[in-house]
Amino acid sequence: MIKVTAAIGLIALNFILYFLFGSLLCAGKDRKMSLTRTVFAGLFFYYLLFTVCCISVMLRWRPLHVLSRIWLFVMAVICISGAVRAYRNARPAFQRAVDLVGRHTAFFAFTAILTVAFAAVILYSYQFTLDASYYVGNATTALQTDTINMFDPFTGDWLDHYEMRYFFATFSINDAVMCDLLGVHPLVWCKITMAGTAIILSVMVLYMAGRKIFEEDMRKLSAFIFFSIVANLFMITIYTTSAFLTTRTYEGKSMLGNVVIPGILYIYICLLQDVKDKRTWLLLLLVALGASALSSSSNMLVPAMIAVTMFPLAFLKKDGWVIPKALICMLPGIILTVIYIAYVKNIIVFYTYPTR
Amino acid sequence: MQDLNIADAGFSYIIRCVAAYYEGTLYFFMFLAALAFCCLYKKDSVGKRMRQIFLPQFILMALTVYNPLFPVALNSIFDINKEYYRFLWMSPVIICIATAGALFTEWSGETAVSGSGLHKTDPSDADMIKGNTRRVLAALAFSCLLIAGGSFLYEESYIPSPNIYHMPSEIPKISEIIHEDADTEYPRAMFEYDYQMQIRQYDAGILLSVDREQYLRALTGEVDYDSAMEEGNYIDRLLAVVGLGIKIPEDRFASALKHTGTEYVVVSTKGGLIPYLKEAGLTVVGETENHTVMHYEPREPQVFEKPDYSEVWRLTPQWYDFLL
Repeated sequence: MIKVTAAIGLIALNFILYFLFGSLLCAGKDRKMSLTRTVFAGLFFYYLLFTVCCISVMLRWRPLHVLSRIWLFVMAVICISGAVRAYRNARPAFQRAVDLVGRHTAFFAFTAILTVAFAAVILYSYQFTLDASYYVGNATTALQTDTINMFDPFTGDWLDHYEMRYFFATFSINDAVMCDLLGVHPLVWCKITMAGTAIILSVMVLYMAGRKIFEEDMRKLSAFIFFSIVANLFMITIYTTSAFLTTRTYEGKSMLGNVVIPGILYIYICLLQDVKDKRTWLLLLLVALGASALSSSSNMLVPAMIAVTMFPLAFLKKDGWVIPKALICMLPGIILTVIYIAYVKNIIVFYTYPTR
Repeated sequence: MQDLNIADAGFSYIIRCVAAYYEGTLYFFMFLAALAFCCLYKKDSVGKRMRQIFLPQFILMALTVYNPLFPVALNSIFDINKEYYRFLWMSPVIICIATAGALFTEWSGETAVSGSGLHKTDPSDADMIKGNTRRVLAALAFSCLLIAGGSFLYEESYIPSPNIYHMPSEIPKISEIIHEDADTEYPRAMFEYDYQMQIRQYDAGILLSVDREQYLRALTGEVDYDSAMEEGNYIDRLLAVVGLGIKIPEDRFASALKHTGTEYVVVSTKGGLIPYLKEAGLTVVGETENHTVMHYEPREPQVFEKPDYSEVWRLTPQWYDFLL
């Protein structure tokens, strides 16, 4: 019971980390800060920085514990800086949030109960999914061998080169690092802490999008969240985003389908209101950069999603600058897709040992 | 989408892909209905915003992702067979349906009141009618979601997780038995399918002789007695016996254990394989509630050694090496 409580408590730790990472970017003096948007931005900033650290350590064949120590240092620096910025500038945002909850107590109580019930039903259920043998297995293997992506999670055998399909998707290595730092078993971390984090994040993004769609009409918003959660429990085939949210919650793909893609739609709605808002464009770029860490499928889906939302925006807003901005945001995914194709065609390979 | 191939299906691929994606549910049609409702919803600023949010993306997706030419063209550049369905994730199905549901309940309440004319004569009755209509229509929308789904996530059964690891309770015990018995840090083992897929999530200190794709190959009928009997096809022998319960000559199975370095075989106690495995030279080293752990002692054991990278680190110094 203590372990379960601790694992659930670590969900809060994740959100604090995302908030502090996000505060570094969003908590400026001149800005009207939103707490949910700060967490959303922080999530992608967190994974972007982690990927940079992870790849630089991985390409020099250093062990996992080196990455853990570097990441602990980076987290400490970012969290302290983020906390200082949040302390100076986030008070009005917290005050607005308290006022909002005070004005709409029934709505927030309803949403909280719904989310907790939804999460509890999913987290308490036993699901056998094949891909866990990779995603959880990779974290367990990294911890066991104190290496990064050098051993096959399915068998435990040494690999002579890094599998490019997962090279930039450092999500499961982040799981391993957090388990290393916190002393938690990867199964507990993945299937309780990360699964709970993904569920709350997906409801948070629904809330963010819903607030924009219904322009703060909380009655419609509560119906929207209720219907979204119900639909997620019923739109179940093995391929849907709902299936990933409810059965493969701890995978990066679940975050891609239920946080990143709806998140881009949210950004599109924000840009519909103000197409020139630089911060929203920067947020889109951050999503595009950070999403690759969650799942390699992001490299193809994020540019595609940006294209199908932002290209029409250029026509709707009669603003030609939207196209180049969207193309810049599509670039990270396109570059990583090209690298992957080059790997498949045997043009690029990164070995797990020095070749010269 | 495993059995769906763009090259074979050609231009009909997208229809089959959408059908497989929404298999047995009406959510695609519900999404189209919700989209139509959102786009036709009022002619005021709210209706305009709904059209701006949902319609442009849908049109562009209809021209690309849902266009029969698109998957064929994309597949000519790189193999997209297994992943194409993920493009369907971009349709905001849940958001659009939930938006339509929220708008529908609100709109029906307003329509009921304005239709009755009560808002002019008796505002309190109007509020009551509005509230009741909204509740009834919300229940109706909820029912639609249930009916359109056709299946509930837990309709077959809701299986509570047996422990904090979300693993069968026997897995930690099996892991313990193997490590207590093994002479090496990394013993190699072979399990029946579901345990094979789960053991390394719990304990990566146990190596496996067969990977996931090889196991799936066996389960989809590509491994049989004949393939297991082929010279040097050791993996198929392990799969035939442990995965499929096919009894090949015991000496052939033992040679597969020897060549793959497999020291442990874990099978269901009631599966009927234990006498066969004993004949092949394995001995029982432990039992859990439903599984038996058996050990094979090869004459020349293969010891797994983790590669030593210390020389690599020495030759490629980095500024963060003080953390090693």
